[in-house]
Amino acid sequence: MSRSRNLALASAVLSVLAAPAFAEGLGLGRPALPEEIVAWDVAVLPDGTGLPEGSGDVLTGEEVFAEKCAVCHGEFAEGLDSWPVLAGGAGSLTDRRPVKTIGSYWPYLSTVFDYVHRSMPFGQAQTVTVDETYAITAFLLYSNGLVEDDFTLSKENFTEITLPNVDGFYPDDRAETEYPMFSTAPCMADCLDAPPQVTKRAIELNVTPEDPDGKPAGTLPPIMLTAAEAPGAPVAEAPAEEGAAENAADAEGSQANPALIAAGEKVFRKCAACHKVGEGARNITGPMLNGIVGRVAGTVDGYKYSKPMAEAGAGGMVWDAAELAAYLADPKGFLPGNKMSFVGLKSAEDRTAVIAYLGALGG
Amino acid sequence: MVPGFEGNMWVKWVRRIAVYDQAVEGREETSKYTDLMPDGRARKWTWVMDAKSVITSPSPQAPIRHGAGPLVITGLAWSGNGKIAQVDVSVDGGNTWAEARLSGDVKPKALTRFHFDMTWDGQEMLILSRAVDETGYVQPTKDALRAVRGVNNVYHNNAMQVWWVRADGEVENVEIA
Ligand code: HEC
Ligand code: HEC
Repeated sequence: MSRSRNLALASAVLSVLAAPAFAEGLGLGRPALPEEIVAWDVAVLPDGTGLPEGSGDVLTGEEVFAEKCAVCHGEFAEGLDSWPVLAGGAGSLTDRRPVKTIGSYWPYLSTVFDYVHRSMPFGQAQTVTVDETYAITAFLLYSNGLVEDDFTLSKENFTEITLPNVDGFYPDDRAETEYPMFSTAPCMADCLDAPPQVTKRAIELNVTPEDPDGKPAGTLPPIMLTAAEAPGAPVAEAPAEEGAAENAADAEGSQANPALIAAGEKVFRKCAACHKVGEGARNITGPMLNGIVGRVAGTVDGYKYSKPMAEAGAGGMVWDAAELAAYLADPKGFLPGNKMSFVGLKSAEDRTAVIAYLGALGG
Repeated sequence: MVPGFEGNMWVKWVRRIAVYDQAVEGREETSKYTDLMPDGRARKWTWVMDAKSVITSPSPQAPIRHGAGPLVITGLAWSGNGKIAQVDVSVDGGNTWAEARLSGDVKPKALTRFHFDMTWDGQEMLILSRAVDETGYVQPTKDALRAVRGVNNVYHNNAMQVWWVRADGEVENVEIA
């Protein structure tokens, strides 16, 4: 059954790829190979369509999860820092702060298999095997209290599992429940009973990204302003900016290369999910990285390093440019067992740039 | 591109197209782009974006730099259910409203620019815009939406956006009641 569906699908994909190119004789493309189609066609549907042969048990799943997922999601899938929580939250959906997890919110187990197999670990998608995916899925059922620890999940028993919130969803009903209510003639005058009061300020929620000058990110430059027209703010601002530039230049010494540092700042976006820098930087998933260039490894205050990283530091390893470059090229290979779950920077240029950027940050 | 639908459906890089006889119920359409209601159940397949508008100038990123005097308030409006029929602007927190000008050839499901001309006396203002689409749907307040959808319903917030304009022309993102 699922075989024939796959076949039908395969030919559909095939004709999509093949038809335009060959029909019009542009000489572009080629028909997809059956192996390619199998590799692409990873979708698993609620009725079990698309499930590959295989199985895995809770205990194996726990091991794989500890190795490949726990750095972000926690040993018990409870979610570390701001990474997603995968377990718990039962009965919380009507709370002010509901915890939406596989156990409390997700309607179908197929989604767990599909997503883990297709998209996780974050940044290293499709490195989890089919049996590992069954095992992880079994472990996630276990950590949500839905199966016992001796449970084995397989293609055969997969659709016997029903998640608790399967009936918690209904199709969009706004047309019936909202549109009539919001389609009355708009009020034009005397619409309020009392003068309006400010009840919430986004500034206090601290959710608006800022530029270095403290203004909302992307604020338009004051194109019309001259010192004569508005003597207040702009005059006060100008010397502050110059001062900042001088300080930065001091810190960088003679090696400062603004273009390289700017390029490094861009590369750093790949790190920013796990590392904070700049004023008030905190430890999050990874340690904060102010002053990292030249620092002894594993010594940022208050950060819980892996054993190998702490030991490397105790052994005297210093993050000079060469060590950093080697670590960033291959985080796992450079220091086996360290917990930076990051594929690394393939390009030497990117490594040089990001190290220049980190160097310019100072302590 | 799927005009009028939530941005999550605008897939940028199509790698393959597969047609199924049932909903795939992928992670984005179950765990994420579903709308949790106050009773703990959730709406699914809520793709259409209802009428919305926002003032782009003045705004926190575009403060008033020229001081009191003539001021043009401008912004964008759109609706997943058709053309924008009207946009109203209020500068007193929603007590009185006046109709803004729509510019260009107004198209269904397309961004529609509006302008509203006034003279600013240099005093604080609470400014907001309100879109009405061709079906007669009127962009609601945040409180009106919360009354129906509760406070954990995030993907389809089409409520009116209030800006607090200060006497010095700086603008802040606020909620009012
Ligand atoms: C580097 C950190 C990281 C690692 C390692 C990682 N994940 Fe994730 N995981 C994430 C992030 C980030 C998201 C959210 C991604 C998004 O929203 O696009 C996520 C989302 C998920 C979700 C969906 C959560 C939800 O509520 O929608 C599941 C399930 C999941 N991960 C399982 C796993 C499993 C199983 C592994 C190990 C094989 C793993 N993850 C490894 C970071 C990680
Ligand atoms: C998925 C999260 C993640 C990403 C992305 C990531 N890191 Fe890390 N990083 C970590 C963790 C966790 C550690 C702690 C390692 C340990 O204790 O074994 C770490 C450690 C480090 C250290 C050593 C810090 C010290 O105090 O000894 C440096 C340097 C570093 N990372 C740089 C980078 C740079 C540069 C990037 C981007 C190019 C990056 N990391 C991307 C998670 C991450």
